[in-house]
Amino acid sequence: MKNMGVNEVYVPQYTLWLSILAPIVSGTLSGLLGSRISGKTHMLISTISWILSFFLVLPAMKTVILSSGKIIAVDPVYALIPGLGHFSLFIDGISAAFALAIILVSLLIAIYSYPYMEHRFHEMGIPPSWGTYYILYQFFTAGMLGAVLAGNGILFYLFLELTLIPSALLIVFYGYGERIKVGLIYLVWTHIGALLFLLGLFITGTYDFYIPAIGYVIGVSTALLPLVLILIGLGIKSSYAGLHLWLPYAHAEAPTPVSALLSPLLIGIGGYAVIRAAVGYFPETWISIRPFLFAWAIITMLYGGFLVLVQQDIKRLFAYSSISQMGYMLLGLAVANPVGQAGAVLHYVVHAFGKAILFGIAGVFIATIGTRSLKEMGGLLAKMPITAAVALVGFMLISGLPPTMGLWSEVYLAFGYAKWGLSLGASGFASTVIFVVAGMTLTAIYSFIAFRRIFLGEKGPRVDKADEKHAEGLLSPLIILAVLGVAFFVAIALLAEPALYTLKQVYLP
Amino acid sequence: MEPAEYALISILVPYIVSGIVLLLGYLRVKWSIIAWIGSLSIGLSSIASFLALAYLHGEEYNRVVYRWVPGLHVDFALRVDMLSAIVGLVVAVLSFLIGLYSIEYIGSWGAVRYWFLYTFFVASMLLLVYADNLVPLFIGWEGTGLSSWGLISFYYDEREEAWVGDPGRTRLGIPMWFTPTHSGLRALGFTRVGDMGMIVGMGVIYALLGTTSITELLENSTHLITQLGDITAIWIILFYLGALAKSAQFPFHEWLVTAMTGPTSVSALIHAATMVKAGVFFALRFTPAIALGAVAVKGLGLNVFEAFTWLSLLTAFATATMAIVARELKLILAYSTASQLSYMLAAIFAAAAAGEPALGTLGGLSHLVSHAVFKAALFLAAGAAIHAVHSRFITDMGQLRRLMPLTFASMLLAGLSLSAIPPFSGWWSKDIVVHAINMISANAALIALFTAFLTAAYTARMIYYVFLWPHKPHGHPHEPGKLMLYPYLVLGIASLALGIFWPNIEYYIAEAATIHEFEQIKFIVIGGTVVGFAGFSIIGVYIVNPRVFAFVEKSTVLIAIRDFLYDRWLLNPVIYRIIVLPSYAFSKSLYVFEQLFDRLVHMGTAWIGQIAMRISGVTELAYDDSLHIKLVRVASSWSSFIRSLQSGDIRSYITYLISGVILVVIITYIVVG
Repeated sequence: MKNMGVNEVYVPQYTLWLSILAPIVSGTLSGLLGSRISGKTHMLISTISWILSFFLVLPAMKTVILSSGKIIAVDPVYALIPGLGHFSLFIDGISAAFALAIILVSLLIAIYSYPYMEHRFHEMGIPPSWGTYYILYQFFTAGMLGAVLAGNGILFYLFLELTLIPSALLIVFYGYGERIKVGLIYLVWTHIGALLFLLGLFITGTYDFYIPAIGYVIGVSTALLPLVLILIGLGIKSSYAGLHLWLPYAHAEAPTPVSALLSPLLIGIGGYAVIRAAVGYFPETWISIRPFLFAWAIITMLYGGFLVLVQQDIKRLFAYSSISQMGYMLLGLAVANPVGQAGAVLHYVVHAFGKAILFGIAGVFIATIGTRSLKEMGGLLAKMPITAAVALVGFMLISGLPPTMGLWSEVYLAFGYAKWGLSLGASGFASTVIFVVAGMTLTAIYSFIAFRRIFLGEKGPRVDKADEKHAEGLLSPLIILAVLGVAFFVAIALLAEPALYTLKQVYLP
Repeated sequence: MEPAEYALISILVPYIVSGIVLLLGYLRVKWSIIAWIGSLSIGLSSIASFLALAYLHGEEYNRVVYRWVPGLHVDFALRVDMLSAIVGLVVAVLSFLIGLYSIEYIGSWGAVRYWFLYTFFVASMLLLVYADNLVPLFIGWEGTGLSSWGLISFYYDEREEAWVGDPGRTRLGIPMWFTPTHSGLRALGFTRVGDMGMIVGMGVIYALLGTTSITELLENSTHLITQLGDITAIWIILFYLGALAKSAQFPFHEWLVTAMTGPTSVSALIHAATMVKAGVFFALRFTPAIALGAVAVKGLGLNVFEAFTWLSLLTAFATATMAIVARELKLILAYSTASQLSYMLAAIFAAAAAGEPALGTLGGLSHLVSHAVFKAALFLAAGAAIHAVHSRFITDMGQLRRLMPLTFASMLLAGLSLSAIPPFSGWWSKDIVVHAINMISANAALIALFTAFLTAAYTARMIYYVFLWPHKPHGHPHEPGKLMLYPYLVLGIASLALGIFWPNIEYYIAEAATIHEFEQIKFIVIGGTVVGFAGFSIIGVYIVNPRVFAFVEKSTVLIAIRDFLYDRWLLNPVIYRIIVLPSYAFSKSLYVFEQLFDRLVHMGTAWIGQIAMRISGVTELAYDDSLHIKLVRVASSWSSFIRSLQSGDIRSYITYLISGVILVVIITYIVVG
């Protein structure tokens, strides 16, 4: 256990707990009020709860960010559970980035949900069930926030479970296609993932990530079995190649706002937990399996990337792209140096903004021109210039083009890889760099092929119906996300510095 | 103000204006206002970059440094030295002139998109030129890539007049014509491969030196090469891959030639002022330091530069041969750009390989400057000609000399400079280039000279067909408006003026190259002049007999050779056959695998579930049976047996009693005894 170079500061009592509770309370309220209030009021309640949550987290986040990660913010209220450790909430240089992304995206997608679900209820021919939608939405998103604030593995697991049922129900209630089957597939797969993770923790016998007043829990074991269980468990969550089968179903068939949360926010939390529970608990073992992890990351990047090229359904396309993007995160984690892992942290935020935008854009198409098929698109730029501009920012984020913060995660990941690659000698470096270059090139290529097929070229059959005037409600939250993606390009140090410092001082000294 | 602060202004103004353009477009402001704001912002950049050069005052370099990401040692740092000051000025001024031309040329269609991308492009280019840190350099670099994609795909409705190649023509089953958005994708894809190599190469520098500062890198190159050891060669290839791709070195030149689908002003911008010059600038920026570092470490890695030199010579030669037979005016100029860029790079790499990089800088930078001016003039004039006859093919032109005399004059002046005829600037700069190439071998210099001959020949052929050929041109050609005409007229005259005042200009370039004594080799000067005149004299042959090359049509061998050149050495179909189509096929088969895998796992799981259900059905039944039926039956038969014993007959009871007593005795006997 160590706390080298980091100091702890207590935030006002309960603030972190309340930041999770706020959306839960608003969700419960929504559920109780049901159809007694309008959809717009439901949306406003949820939005306000997230704004509240943001301001509750803000003091903690400010402390962490302004100190560049040298100070950790802990909620003084925690429970000591016999045998399971300290159920505490804290924010450090790593969770700051994750929490910020979750809060901002949850907030904006809550707004996006209103016009989208209005369309969806109408499309399904059912009376609007706003109460049900928003209670599930709020529990789901609150669970994600809780997961990244948790200072304990069991607590993390509990929050992760909190996300599971609501998100599965959202798919079952409001999804597309064979939504009940898809919901079940999603539920079973990711639940197994969570259980394997839990089993790994049980074998390790250590549950705390961070103990208030004592410090981080680092390097508790050198065993391989629990690490493998944890890695597979989180690998299912993050849909690394081979464990990804559930993802295209769930992300393509979920109602679009839920896709915009599942894809960028939820799956990347697997990567977050890898830092805490895999790198943190088993640093030496992690370093020793680097080549294997690197190979897995490359396979994930290429597997997802190549499959994107042949998709005809825009949501499936983005779903496979998410698999490839998780490969990026794993690449950063695999090289096991602070720069690379900071790249993984930044890439979570990049992907959160980018993929939320892109799934949002898919929703714009569903709501306006009524299709998900790329074959029916083409030449939409003329009719939907703002949609195209926002989508372009989304694609730029995931392909790492300036002026979006995607460039930075790419720089960190490439630099992190370079440092590890150098240690492989001339032939090792030459044979691995080819795959890194190929993987990173592929993202840009599939992104711009997709952009071309949607917006450029010959006019597709749906162009005449295209009109973005009525999609303002859907587009505005996406425009804000795009602005955030550009703003953090300039202000990248706010996220990158704390993450890098924490990884350097604590996890990979 | 410091020179570097002027540089900052020249970068920031167009960046900010690119944002303003978007805003104005959103507010539906009139297109001409947007166009003027866009182009004038680059005028401001030009003034700022002129001041940056003017105030340098013989300082070695001047820097501004703003902290950005301290954890990665990344600063927003700019460095004005002679090299960046000269290149920055050339970029800004040419972009300004091309901008003025674009106002009329582009007009209202897509104006917001055009001016956003245009200003963003120029700003990115200036950023990469003035950057003193690898990451800002990379940001500018990627910015040019993004905006070139947008501008090459500008006519996204795929209108046919913007296509490159002959519609319907295929080789090896691959279409040989390219629509704008296809070309844009090619530009992005081809350069992206290089960029990713470059960023990893930058990561290597950071890992070894712990810095991303360019100034520190230039000062510590020996240390870097020492640390790299046997990885040096791989690192040089990676680090330069972006430059090779951007500056269209074989086989990456493919993206450049199809990039002609963009508006002509964009072609001029990409080819003369920005984008493709980025790779040359990159080589100018880093090669001297890396080569000297390599020399200090037993010449480690110098062989890579030698290989690069040959690659560049191959590119120069190959693209010149393609230009000889091309029919599209812009395509001829595009080949020419690839060829001339390769000259610059060959000079830089050859001098580096020979261990005297300063001469390479002198040659490369000289040619960069003179090429920028004459190529911009050529493209802009070509745009006017194409616009006038509504065709991109030179075979649809002819006799434009009378109808567009000033355009003819500009193109002739610029063309003579491209052909390296004295005293034009191209003559001076090509001479130094060949001199530098001569440093690795005389054969290399001979290839360069032969390519120079081809250059003069295709230039003459082009000018002949457009302006002199006795053929009635399409449409009713006339000179364009002043806003289009003057920029290229100025540039045409400038190519002559640069040549006349070359010795004065060379003084500055020599300072950038830190070279003070340079002696011409007579053989090269004479040879260069002779091949220039010889090549250009082909125009006379054409004038005497317009059908002089008709004999080619009569020989199948010659037709095959011509087609081979016309189809760009078949490189494009080969790339599509071995990379693009197999990748797509791979994706498709991977998807089949994915679906099988999916079915296997999910159906397999379901199947196992069903088996388990069936097994459990059987066991469950048996268990149920034994518990609820058999057990009951046993109990009831047992009870009826017991009941049958209780008959009420006293004899039976006595019999039971006696049997019981005997049993007890026996058991007692066994247990006790």
